[in-house]
Amino acid sequence: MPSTIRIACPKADTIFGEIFYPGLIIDVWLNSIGYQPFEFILDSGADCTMVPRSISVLLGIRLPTLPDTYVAGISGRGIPAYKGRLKLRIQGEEFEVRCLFTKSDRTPFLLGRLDVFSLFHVHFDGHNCQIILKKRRTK
Amino acid sequence: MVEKGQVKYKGNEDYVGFIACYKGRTIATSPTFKQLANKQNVRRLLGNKDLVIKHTVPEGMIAVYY
Repeated sequence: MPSTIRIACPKADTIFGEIFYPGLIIDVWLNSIGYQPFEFILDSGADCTMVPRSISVLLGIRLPTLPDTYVAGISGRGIPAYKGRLKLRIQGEEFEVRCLFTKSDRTPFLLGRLDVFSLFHVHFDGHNCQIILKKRRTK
Repeated sequence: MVEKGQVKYKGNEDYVGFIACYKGRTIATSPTFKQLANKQNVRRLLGNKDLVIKHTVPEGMIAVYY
């Protein structure tokens, strides 16, 4: 298993020109289907990973009726969210993250810091348009 | 050889929402993930390593997620 993972990233065309876009193809374990690739935005500003609630159906899990918390959205209103876990795989490296399933089905797939930055040293290499994940040594 | 992250998906330049790409081509779009995942051609391909589901914004648009 490689301890260093290098992931080439695309660029986004914006009014400022091309910007390094930290979109990572990550395999998500879906019950009864297996691994399915999704593009996540690696978001160092997000406390934890967030995905739309409807993905829980594909994961084969049932979320509670009442939300566990609320996430501040762009509208300023809180979006209900539910705690859960995702089993992920990047270039053969499997790991699990705690995450929030948001009630909004318009939430992009965001890979936040919780359980990711503690597992990997994360290097955003904008110059070379890549993200380097180096697995931390376990004590 | 083009690596996964470098793939430029065709056909999604003006779209806000979720897209499903199969072998680099957009095969389905939808404003919500639920609608996308329920599309027959997407459901049929779930679990296929050549299918990638992602969120997208139009070219030229600045995206800030918070």
